[in-house]
Amino acid sequence: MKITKFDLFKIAIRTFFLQSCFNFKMQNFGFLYAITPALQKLYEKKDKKMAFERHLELFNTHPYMASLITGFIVKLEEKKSISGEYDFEEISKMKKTMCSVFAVIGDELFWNVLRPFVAFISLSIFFINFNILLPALVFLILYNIPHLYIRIAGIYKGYELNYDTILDYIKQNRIQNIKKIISILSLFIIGFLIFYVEKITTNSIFNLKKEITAIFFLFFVFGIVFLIKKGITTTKILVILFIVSTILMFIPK
Amino acid sequence: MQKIFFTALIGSLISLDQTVFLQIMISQPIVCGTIIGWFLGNIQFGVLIGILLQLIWIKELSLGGTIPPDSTIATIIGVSIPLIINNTNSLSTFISIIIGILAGISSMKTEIITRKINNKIAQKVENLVKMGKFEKISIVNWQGILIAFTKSFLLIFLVLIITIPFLTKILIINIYGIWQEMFKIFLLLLGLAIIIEKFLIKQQYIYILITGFLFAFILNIFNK
Repeated sequence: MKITKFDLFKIAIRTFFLQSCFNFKMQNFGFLYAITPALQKLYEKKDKKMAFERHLELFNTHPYMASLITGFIVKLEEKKSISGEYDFEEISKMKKTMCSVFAVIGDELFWNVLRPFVAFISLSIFFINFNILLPALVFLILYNIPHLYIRIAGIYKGYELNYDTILDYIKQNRIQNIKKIISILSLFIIGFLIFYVEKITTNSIFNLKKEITAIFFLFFVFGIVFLIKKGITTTKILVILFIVSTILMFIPK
Repeated sequence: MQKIFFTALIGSLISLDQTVFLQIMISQPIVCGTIIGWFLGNIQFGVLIGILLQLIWIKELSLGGTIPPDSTIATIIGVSIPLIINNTNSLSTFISIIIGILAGISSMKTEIITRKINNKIAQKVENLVKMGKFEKISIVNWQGILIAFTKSFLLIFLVLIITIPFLTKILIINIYGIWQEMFKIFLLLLGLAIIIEKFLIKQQYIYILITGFLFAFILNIFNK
């Protein structure tokens, strides 16, 4: 039996459930659930049982990047069902290596870089346009284009490529460059946003020129960054700001 | 009561997106704040609180098996309390955000219990595999989703049902003056400072931030 493109698509959809039963063996059940259509198709009775048992081991990686590993394992299972070749120890080792590598890449790329960056873009739109629906829509669209691409296409890529080329597929240094560019862009956007912070209020707070208020906010932000760098927790700063704003609240303008 | 029930229902469905199912980021504060705000009739307030919490939560990352405080639950509660009690002044907003953050921390703590239950489900799957009942795996998978849904539903529902009658009574203080807007500004500036600290990977990048500020400054002069 051969795995078809439609089978791979079914598996790709099932990867959206990868963490539905997150347990102390992490995503092992989610992974098994994802590849179930392939195992059901490839094996008969006894072999099927062995195939299912093979994938009950711990599985922990970034949920989006799991697609590449899933596609790769499906191809190995297909080979095994045709030729009988399958070195369990070797495959298990490969799986673990890929899980660790892709966990680091995925965490860095999606959680640490893409998500905050897309949040900035949405935030900027809110400030420039003051449109209330656009920020959420832009966030969802911009974030999910790469997300859904890696989830769906990742299965096909993993199925096509071999072990070494998969590891080369996303190079660590490329991610560092992306992070650098995104950091620069984000800081520029933040600088831009600070100027428009007062826009979130219905009326002007200070009887000052907009530009003067903005410069005051810029120095205020630098002050908070300084405090954070000095090791003061954001919770402490939040409480201080609350006390100050509560006192100010009761002062008539 | 009806509003609380449906907020908890929508909120727990949204919170599934966080780890259990999809992960298309509808559970992110900026998006779920908008949804809850829309449901309770004040999208603008929902978006605003969503943006503020998105900024504050930006440093929290769900890496590997670690469980960060639940930003989705915090946002749902932070947005829904002021809108249900019909009071969106600074004091009400602040207290709701604090209750939301505490609920988010409680959600993180209860996640360990969820994982223990999931462990039993995973054990059940191992037994099913041993017995050769592979087709039942799909059904068992839904149990994990149901547990996560129930956990979030109970948490949101209980927090709202306990705090709302109490807060309705204490938050009737008549706060006057434009300063009540100050807290929102402070929160936003704090959020921006948190991001600057995160992205300031090199000291000299501070000039890029100042360039962005000056760009907005000049643009404003030309737009006058």
